Amino acid sequence: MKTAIGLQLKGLAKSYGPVEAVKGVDLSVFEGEFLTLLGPSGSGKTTILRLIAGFTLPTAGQIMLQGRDVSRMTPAERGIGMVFQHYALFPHMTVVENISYGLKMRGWPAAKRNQRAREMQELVGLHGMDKRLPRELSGGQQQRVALARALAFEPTLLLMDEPLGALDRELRIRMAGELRRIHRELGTTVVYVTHDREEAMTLSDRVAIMHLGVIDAVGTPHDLFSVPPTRFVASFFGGHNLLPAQLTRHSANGHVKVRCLDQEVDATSGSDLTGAGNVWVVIPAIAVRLGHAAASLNIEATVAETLYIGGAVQVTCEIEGMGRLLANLPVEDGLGLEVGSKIDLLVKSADLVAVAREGESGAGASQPAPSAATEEVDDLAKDI
Amino acid sequence: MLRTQIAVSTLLRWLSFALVLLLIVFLFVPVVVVVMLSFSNATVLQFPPDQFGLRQYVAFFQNQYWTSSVVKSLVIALPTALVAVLVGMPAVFAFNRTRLPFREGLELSGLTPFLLPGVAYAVALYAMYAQFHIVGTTVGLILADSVIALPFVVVIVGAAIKRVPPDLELVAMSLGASRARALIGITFRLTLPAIAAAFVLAFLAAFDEATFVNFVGGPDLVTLPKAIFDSLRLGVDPLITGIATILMALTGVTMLLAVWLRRA
Repeated sequence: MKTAIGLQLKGLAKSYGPVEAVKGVDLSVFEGEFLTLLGPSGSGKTTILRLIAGFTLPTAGQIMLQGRDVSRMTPAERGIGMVFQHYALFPHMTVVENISYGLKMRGWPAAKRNQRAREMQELVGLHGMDKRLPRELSGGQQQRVALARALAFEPTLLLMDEPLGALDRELRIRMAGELRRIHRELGTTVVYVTHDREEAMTLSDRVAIMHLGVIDAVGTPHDLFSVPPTRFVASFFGGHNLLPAQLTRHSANGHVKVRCLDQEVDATSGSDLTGAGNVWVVIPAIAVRLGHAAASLNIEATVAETLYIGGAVQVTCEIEGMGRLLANLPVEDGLGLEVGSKIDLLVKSADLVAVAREGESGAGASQPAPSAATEEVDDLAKDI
Repeated sequence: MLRTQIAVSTLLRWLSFALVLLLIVFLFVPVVVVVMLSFSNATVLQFPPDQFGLRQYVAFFQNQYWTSSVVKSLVIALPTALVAVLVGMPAVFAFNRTRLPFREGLELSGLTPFLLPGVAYAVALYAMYAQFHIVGTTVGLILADSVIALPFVVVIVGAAIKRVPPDLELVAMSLGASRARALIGITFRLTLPAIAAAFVLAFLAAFDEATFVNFVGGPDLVTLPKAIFDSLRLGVDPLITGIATILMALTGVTMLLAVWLRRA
């Protein structure tokens, strides 16, 4: 399995005046791994990417690339490939000139450059466009050129800043598939930034979830989705429902008991809940079913809205005094439901996860938001 | 009702069309008249000319008073354009690519020469130049004209650099370019057409400048606009219609050049 560490961030921090965009981040990315930094805008993910690229220097901390400290090096010295959201192709250069720019900077002879540019075009699936200018290409094609350009000089690390953000949905899905294939073929270490959880889920080996300048949690998409360690991961990454509950028993192996809706049920926990009194119970929409059963959380609710979403019915329910709950019911259960009718819902205890409630112990306890921490402020050409 | 409304709007459309046409005629008739006059052989201004010929052009090129004034104008205008570009470019880069405090205000102040009351400014300039004993010097006039030429660089190159995303420089650096190489090879390269266009317009502004030269030029610094003004005192020689035609043709060509450069 993967063992060597390709990229390591140690206590990385960046402030812009009084605004702390990144607050002491530790992260290890393995060689050949596809790691996604996922977070809402202003969470610091783009700042981290730009710190790694060397476009801005950290206020504190270190960036280790294959064991060497690159924290204070210029972008050129780091040798990291980067793909920008808006591609940033050089408008006055042809496709081939764009792709071979990095090779030219490294003093490759023309013949070798052209050879390599051809290979890269092959890799990203661009044919017969050598002499085209960027403005003569579609968005998808421009993205392929940007990718080929960033990979041509065989960087040890590839950074991607929302590279699919400017494409329409159809193309985004196709390009995501292409990215998977290219990553599989080359085995380059990739750090990918996005605010789109579907992208993060489908592309990544592991996802690091960013929130207010810190990494909230790191894990495989499946682990983070099925056993979210924090409230933020549960809601932002999983899109799960949350119900308030009290922890009544906890044990070290992750099996806990909680009191929720006046019932005591078993649940799992992805983080240490020692000392936590109030918790959230995480309920995935797909785990909700019609009915009433033992060893489950039973919920009485009123149907507020039903949406047929193809293969399932998304039912918005109202739990008295608790707020709303989303349930993705099988079509045969969901289609006949009348808005306003009362229904019995259940969630098997195996599907329940407990996370710490805000202001309590546990890794996920998040502070009140200092709202100014946006990544739009770091206009980096100006910072070096 | 509807019919009257349509009739009124049709009428208005025709009226506005006529107005625009009138404006164009008003602007272009003098041009046509001057060009026609320049090809007359008369020794006094007279329209319509009764004999066509190249007398005005021949007289212009044979008279050293005029030719040396053209040379003088070139000697002033070319360095002026160069100074404007050399001062304006770093300023534009500083306004747009640094965290310089008050950069928006500074950028705006770069445009103030457009608003300067020329004569009043020239008087002040004269007083200052007299202190430093540089009235009547070529360098003095070049510096004065640079003030007028600078805004062309600030406006045109400034607009161009705002269209170059900073990401391009960053990507060049990530691909192995040094900061300087990224700045020159990408940002500077992409603004080059605008720089050339600004140079042309700065040159034209200085070539055409008639106010400062009258104050700080002294009696001996005779540029083409000054020569024309001076000649008017002795009565109107129709050869200035020849000069006007040459100037308009050259200006037209350089303006087209500037437009073409900006588009390239």
